[in-house]
Amino acid sequence: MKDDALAALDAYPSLDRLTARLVALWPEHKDYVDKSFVDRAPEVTATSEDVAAAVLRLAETIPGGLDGLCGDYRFLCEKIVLPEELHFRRHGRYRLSSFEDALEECYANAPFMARYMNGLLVSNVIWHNHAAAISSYAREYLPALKPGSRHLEIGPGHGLFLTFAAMNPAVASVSGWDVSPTSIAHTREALAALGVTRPVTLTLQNLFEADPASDSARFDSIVMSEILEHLEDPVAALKSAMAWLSPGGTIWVNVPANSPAPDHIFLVESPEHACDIVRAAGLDVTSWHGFPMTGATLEKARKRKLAVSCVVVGRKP
Amino acid sequence: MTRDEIKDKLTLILRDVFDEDGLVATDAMTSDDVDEWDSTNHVRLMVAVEAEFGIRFETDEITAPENVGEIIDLIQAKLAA
Repeated sequence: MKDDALAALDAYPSLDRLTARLVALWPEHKDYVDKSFVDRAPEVTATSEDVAAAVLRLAETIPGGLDGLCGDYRFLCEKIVLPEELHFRRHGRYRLSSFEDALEECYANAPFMARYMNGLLVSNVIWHNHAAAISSYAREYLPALKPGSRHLEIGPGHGLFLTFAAMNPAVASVSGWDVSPTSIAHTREALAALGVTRPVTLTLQNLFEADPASDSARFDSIVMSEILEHLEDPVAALKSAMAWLSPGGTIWVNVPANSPAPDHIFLVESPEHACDIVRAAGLDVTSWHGFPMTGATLEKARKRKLAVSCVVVGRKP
Repeated sequence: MTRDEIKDKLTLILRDVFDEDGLVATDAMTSDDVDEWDSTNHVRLMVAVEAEFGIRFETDEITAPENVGEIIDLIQAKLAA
């Protein structure tokens, strides 16, 4: 029965609180939220509880609090994604294709970006494909890292992934790079709000301008989550990242296929396409997942070109 | 095109978009009546309607119809324009 999925969240206090408030503010979204949780695997739900707890802590630092976050999530769904989805369905491609256009329309618009990022924060709990990708990271990828791993995330955003890495005892050092000083500051604030006490080195660094020849530091693990679809040349980005990997080191890539958004400029069409991109950079693909959007199977998502979160782990030979 | 002709064409579109061969469209049918009728598939539906009938919806018209009957009304209005 439809109502059972949300009722079963009683065992997860953060999920229960977040979903209850969202549905109270946006009752029309209840069926979608229920559908997102009805078949959610137990381990994914458990990770989502951790993510929901983090979202609730971050909500305390955001103007408008939890209600503001929920409002921004609704804004994301109805005002940001829907027009892009319409363009994608009509034309079979993303609306923008250059970084300059995305910069002008999105990144230079601070109020818009704030709402967009807040909405995506909530989507990490509500959208099944996002939740499953995070769970894969936290419960499969991180535990497989060798003790003493030096870990880097490109574009850490809200710091959720850095937080999971910081909690992993195998990770010896945690670093984050971003091109935006504002983003670096936000990540630092978020990590503090999330209670991360171990040192995290956040560096203002453009991946394409970083010179591995001038720095002997290397990483054993690099994360690029929802980065490649924002770039004109994802292969070049992966090659640049790979130059910072120690031999045998791994890159965890999370890139959405068929996922229109105003700043998505590179269309990944399938998990296989994502794997091809990783291989084209010179990495060996050691594993991959295709997590379909809420309510869809991977088969249906392929057939209907619905959104799929493509998780690919690449290893430097 | 008569309303019934529009409904017949729309029924075929609904069946294709939602993969329900036995779907019988009624004016009162809403997204609550079709399991896979979510926001993304609704956009797929409306774009398929555009292609089939040679019409174009404004962005706010995409989400305005609340049932199949209102979609038919909108199609009729577009065809008459």
